[in-house]
Amino acid sequence: MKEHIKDNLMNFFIIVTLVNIVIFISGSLMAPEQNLTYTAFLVPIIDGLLGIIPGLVMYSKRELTVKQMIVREIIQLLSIELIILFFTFGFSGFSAEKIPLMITVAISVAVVYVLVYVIRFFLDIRSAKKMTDDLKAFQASLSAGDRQE
Amino acid sequence: MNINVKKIGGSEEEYIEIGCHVRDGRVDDIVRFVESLDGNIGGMKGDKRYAVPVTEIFYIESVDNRTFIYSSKDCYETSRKLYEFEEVLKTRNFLRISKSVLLNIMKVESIKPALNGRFSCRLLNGEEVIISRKYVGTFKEYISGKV
Repeated sequence: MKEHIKDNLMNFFIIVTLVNIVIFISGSLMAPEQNLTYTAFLVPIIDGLLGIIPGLVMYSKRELTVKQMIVREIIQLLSIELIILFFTFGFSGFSAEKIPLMITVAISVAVVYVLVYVIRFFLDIRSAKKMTDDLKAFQASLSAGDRQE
Repeated sequence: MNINVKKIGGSEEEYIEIGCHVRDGRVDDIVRFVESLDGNIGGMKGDKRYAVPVTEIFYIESVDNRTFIYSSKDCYETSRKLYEFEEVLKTRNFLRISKSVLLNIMKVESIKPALNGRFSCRLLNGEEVIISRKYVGTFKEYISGKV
């Protein structure tokens, strides 16, 4: 459970950073003249919180198979898409002219979702390298008789 | 039950002999305990019983309530449960890496990331076993000497 909370906290900060980048890029391309208020600073934080809700809710102590994991990830992505779209457009009402913007947001959510995994994977590669180094040192110390096998 | 300990000469091979009316579970427990102290674990392969040296075991896996011991090339079945091995082998660098696998750390060649925060251990015989997320923290602490 502790690991799970740590994981989600890390995901939250990665999402916040990525949403900032997405807002910067999409805003520069689609509405470069737009002026934002201070409340705009809250958007990445709210998106980060909304983005980790499905992961927190769908937590399972069971060790999932690869197939189960893929199914869970797809359900999680769809849930996040629905939550973000609802919170972004739901209160002001859906309309036909908002569809291109909604598609942009949906694509951005999917891109951020994938990027979170890519970043986590690169962090895991670094972690695995350190673990291998520690393991080699551990094995060498035992072979040298520092520790009783 | 009488226990006799007899000193023997250095040229003789050490032995333990059990005198019993019936070979029951209690006797088997003693045999298994002595074997594990001696560095061997009993396992069945086909109809034959083998004493597998602990140092040759790569990992022990529990599948559908059955427990299997894996060496470099062979697989043996044992009647003991995984948690019993975990207890007996914890001082011999065996570590639980998932709900069903007890791994001999000394047989790991390298570690790489797997899906979803899990890690995969490549063993010296080329096999791969997964460290599940729940056990990653303990594994890291153990190999870095913090446990």
